[in-house]
Amino acid sequence: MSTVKIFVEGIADEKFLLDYIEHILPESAIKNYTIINAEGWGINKKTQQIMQRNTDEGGVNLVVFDADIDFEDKKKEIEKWKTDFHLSFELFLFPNNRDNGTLENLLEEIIPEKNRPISDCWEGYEKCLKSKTIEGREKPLTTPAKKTKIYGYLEALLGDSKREKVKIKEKERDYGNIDHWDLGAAYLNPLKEFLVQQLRTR
Amino acid sequence: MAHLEQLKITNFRGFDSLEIDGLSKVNLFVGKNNSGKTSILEALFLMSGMPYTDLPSVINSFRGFGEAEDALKYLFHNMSYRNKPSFYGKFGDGSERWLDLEAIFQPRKNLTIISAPQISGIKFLFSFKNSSLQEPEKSSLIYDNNHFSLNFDASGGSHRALNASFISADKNETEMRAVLANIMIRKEEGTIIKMLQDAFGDAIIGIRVVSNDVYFDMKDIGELVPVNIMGEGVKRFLNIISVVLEKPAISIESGAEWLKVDPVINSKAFVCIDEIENGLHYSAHKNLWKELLSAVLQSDIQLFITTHNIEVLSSLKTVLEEDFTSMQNDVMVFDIAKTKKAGYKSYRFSYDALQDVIENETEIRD
Repeated sequence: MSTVKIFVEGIADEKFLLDYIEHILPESAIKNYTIINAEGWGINKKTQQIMQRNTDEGGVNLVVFDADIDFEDKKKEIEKWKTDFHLSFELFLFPNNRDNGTLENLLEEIIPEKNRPISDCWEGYEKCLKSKTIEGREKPLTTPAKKTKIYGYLEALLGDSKREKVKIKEKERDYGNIDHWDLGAAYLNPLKEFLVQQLRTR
Repeated sequence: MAHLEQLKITNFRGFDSLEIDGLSKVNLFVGKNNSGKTSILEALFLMSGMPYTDLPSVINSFRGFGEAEDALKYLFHNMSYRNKPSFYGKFGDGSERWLDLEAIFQPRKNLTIISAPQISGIKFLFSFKNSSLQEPEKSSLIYDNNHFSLNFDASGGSHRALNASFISADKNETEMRAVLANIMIRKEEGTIIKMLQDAFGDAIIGIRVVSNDVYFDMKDIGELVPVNIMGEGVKRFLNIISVVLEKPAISIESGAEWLKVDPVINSKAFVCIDEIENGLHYSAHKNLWKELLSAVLQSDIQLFITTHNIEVLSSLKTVLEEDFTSMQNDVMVFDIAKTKKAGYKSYRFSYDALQDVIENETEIRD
């Protein structure tokens, strides 16, 4: 039976945390844990029951969600679940438990130095879009989401074959691949501290 | 008829206390062995008011009744008579039922020898309240374990009961006979035969009750075949569907005008089914679920079912997806557990979490 349950919003977060936890803590020093996909940022009845049961069994719940556009607002809203639904959990908001943003903002920051040129190309693309107008269209063009940038980043690195291309999908990414991601980056320190504190066996 | 929505159990068998909220039309209780699932069904049945003055099925089905002298003590939490079991039920129409149990002791034969009191029976203290009553209606029944009798405690008033059935995990024959006879009297055995044929093939073409035993009329066999020699699965299936379809007239014995079965005498309120899967091959599960869900759709019956079989849950999910989509909101699963920090708890999961419950049961098994 798990003693730590980590609740995330989606499959991308799940895969990232799986790979990252493996990177920061050896198997021998880690508590039993399960990552649970809450399928969205809300707290539905099912998730409430799972969380409650875990607490009743002496386990610890971790909620690792996105801060999105307002870190303080999101933090306040989620902390309110403790009183509204009688739940007990520790909270961390991507990207770094301090700033607005999402998992993808964190991923952007852990692109290895040698791959920065790919990121620069993307910024060029975004600048270019902002500068263009389309005949008959009043609204400015939308800047693609960060998610798209990450997809584009991986697509540029991975080869043409089907087998390579499947690794772009969120579920199949290998965050331990040092040619794609720097899991030792200082930007990850807040997340690292949070996870080590909760998951390391004493 | 209003459904039971909330159940509270105190001091009954292994439970110091357990609260279950959000009960629905079809309620499944899952959880490890010894988590108290059978006790929940027993609590529901006892709380219904036990309208039957004839007790064979209760005595045969309930652990402790009709057994060795002091087996009744296991009704009391930690086997202490000071821990009086009590039950509370709240219904969808706002009505409430309470039941408290008290031990009745053998009179001491020899007053000079000090010995532990011997339990000889149980006093059932019922209360009922609805919006039309200013004060709760009270009544009591006395169960005498020496004579296996259940009698109204002659203090006047009336005893209000719900029409309830309890199908134990393993004693199929005992329950079937009277129930089947009743179905045949109403000329409804054709429905039962069709259900058996859908589940097990068309070899079964009839069903008879002869001299208190149940027989099948099988295709290509010249004599009736006693149900006893059929497989456990067929017996189990037959037992469950016949009890669920039963519409018994509660026989009011002369002098038993005190008994009110509420609200409509032929309408079954609860059916409790313990370990529904016993003896049944998984291929029969879907058919059984279809028949049970049909019965719930057509009547006001409320089902309370225990299982620890993953195929039972999977087949229910399939049937709800394919054939009974309108009933998805009428099915609840309650995971019962004795937790490390919070004692006995129930965790409620609706249809959309059924897959998670199935996966979790698989996880526990692994």
